[in-house]
Amino acid sequence: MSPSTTASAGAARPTPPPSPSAPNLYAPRALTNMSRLKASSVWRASESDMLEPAMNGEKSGRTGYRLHVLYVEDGKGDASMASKLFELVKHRYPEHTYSTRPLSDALALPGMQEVLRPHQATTQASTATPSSSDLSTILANLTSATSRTDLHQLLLRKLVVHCAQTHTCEAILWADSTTRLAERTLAETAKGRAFTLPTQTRDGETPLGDVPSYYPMRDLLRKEILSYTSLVSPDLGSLILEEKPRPAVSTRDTSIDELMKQYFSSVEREYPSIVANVVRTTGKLLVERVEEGVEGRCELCDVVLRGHAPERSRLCFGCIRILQGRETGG
Amino acid sequence: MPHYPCQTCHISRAQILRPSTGTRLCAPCFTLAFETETAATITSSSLFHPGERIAIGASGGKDSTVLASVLQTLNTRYNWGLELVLLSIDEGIAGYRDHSLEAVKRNAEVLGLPLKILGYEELYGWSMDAVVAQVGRKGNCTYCGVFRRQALDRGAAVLGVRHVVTGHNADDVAETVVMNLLRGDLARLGRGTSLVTGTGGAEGGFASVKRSKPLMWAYEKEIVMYAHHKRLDYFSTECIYSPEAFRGSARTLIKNLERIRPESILDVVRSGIDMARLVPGAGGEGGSGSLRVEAIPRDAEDDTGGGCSGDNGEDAGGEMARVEETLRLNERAEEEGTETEIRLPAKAVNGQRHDRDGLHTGPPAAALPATVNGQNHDRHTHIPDIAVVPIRTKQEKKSGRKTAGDNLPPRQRLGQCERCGYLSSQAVCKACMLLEGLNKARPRTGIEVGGAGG
Ligand SMILES: [Zn+2]
Ligand SMILES: [Zn+2]
Repeated sequence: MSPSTTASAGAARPTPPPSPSAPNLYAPRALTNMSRLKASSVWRASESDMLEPAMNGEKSGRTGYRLHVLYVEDGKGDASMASKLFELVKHRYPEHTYSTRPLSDALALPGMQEVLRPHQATTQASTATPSSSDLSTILANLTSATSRTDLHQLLLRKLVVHCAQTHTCEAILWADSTTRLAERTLAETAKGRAFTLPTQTRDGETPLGDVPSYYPMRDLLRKEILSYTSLVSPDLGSLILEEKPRPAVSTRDTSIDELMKQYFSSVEREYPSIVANVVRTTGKLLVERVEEGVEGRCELCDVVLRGHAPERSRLCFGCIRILQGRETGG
Repeated sequence: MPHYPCQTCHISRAQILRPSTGTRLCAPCFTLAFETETAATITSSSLFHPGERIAIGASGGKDSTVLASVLQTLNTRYNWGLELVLLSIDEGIAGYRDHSLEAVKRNAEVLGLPLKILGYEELYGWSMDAVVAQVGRKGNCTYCGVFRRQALDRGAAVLGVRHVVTGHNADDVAETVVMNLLRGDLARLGRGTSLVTGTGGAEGGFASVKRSKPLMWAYEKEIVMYAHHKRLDYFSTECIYSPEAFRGSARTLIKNLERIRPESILDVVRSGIDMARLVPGAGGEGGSGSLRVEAIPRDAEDDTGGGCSGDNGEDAGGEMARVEETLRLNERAEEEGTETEIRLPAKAVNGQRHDRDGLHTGPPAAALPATVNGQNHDRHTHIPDIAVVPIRTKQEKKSGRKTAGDNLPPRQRLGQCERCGYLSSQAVCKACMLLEGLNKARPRTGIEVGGAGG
């Protein structure tokens, strides 16, 4: 790809959740990511050859990548604080382009109404732009914290990809640390979707669209990134939404994602290389072979249905579970 | 708790909430459903053939006890004509197996099945007590683990049986999946999740004895419920050792997952099967289970038949710490841009590292940091097992990234031990190496190595 035209939509999504179902995902790290890129001259290129030219560019005076920073408002938790921080970030790094989208915009993407709001899809209401309260209703009707987290992440991903396409970006930079990717690896395994891991955690093409995804911080542990934010000058503390520590209990209200987060935060402390190794290991798996254009895909998450869905289903097993999570009681 | 009617017969009061389906059933409907599902696992994969002789690896624990009971029930119900026999292994540690073997004996009587108890003494010429007398306490777990790996196969061969079934359940398989992800061991993902390993062919003595786990889709909780409602008599083994670190860590995680979403146990198993299919060289996408069967060796951890896997005298955290250290050294080596292959002195203690890991078809090993492993590369002289972690150069790494995970060595071929014929990456398998050492130190006469090896 040509460095001068590469833009990126970093997903900046502040999630300040008192709710245990909303793991704090993107905000601090997306911001960190971006500032690191611009403020650091100690960037260790490692696997992220994509960012190297940016740094070199800065040093040599040539143009680096143009970044488009996307902030997805999900209306949860301390949204006003998050928005405030986003303003601060804009101010600190005026050279980038910024935009904000509510997460509910994802509901307006093709097919989403039919899958998520089958009753409204046929009525007049469907022509109106879905609002945040529509999204809240959909999420509230799901039966488990895991389902809510799943759908939330799925919509976020779809929206970011959509925005990247709209802005003709050539790549999407995600702020996931190696710790976060390890969490996702085990979470997807626990959801029976490990077959999607090669495309979900690896740099490059994704099944969602033409814009390839990259994880520039894939080699860094969460704790390293946090250290960095205080070591760099000026420090980034004031730009970062503080993560409130959550009780480390495992109840049925916890999501699988939250469980994995707790798990890896303890593994990270003692065995950091094992965290990284989990990601490397699944990175070696082959991508499932797909006959492009021939095979049906899940209408919600876009995985190939063959082998991963009931017969004649338009949704994969995983998405069926999201939408029909049953109460198990006990 | 409110009263619910059974969701199957709609008559009796429901006594059980099935974790696998979330349905509420009365006890008779539950046990019938459990049996029918096990039968479906067996028939849908043509696991047995009519008249086949099957040895049930019986430890006296709940899993193998339930397996024996269910198989006996199904064999009668469906007229499968199977010839079932219980096979127990006695390590020969005075007092250690007393209670569990008593449970097995009682079960054999109740079920009307023949029982064969074989000791390490008969299988290897050495009981564990004799091994300890010879080598001391330290390191004796290596022997126990390595011997256990082959014990059921050797025992089956002694009985002239070509197929051994073990009581591994869905929780065990899910644990193994998570554990191998943490270890970064793709090769083992396939072995842990396949219903059948080994060929069962007549050739090759005990080395080709077929192994299967008919309860691999059954929840541990339901196995306990089944045992309870059928009033089965089993010995609850509390392992005297802390579980090996990876397994302990994985077990806790699986239990927590089950609490959040009971279905996730089977989802992890399905994920494991999918990943095994996507391991480069594993038979490719869409490869059927049978394709992978022949080359799939057993693991020590697969051989406990639901009993205590206390083959580990090492402190919990040992293996995790060692893997961690190796990975760190690898990272350092990588940063220095050198092509290095660091060999991990594996599990000297319980032999859980498999022989197969020693087989590496990549480029010859370069620098070998003495701190990691002072061992000799010569396959004939090293005793403790080794795992090889191949490191790619930066160059390789970049190209590997683009072509999506083709950076594993080509499909590994396992050879056979030249003495006993067991699957082994080394010319002589570990059990034979250990036996050689033992026998050299105190030559014994009249006892052949292995029951049916030759
Ligand atoms: Zn789907
Ligand atoms: Zn009933």
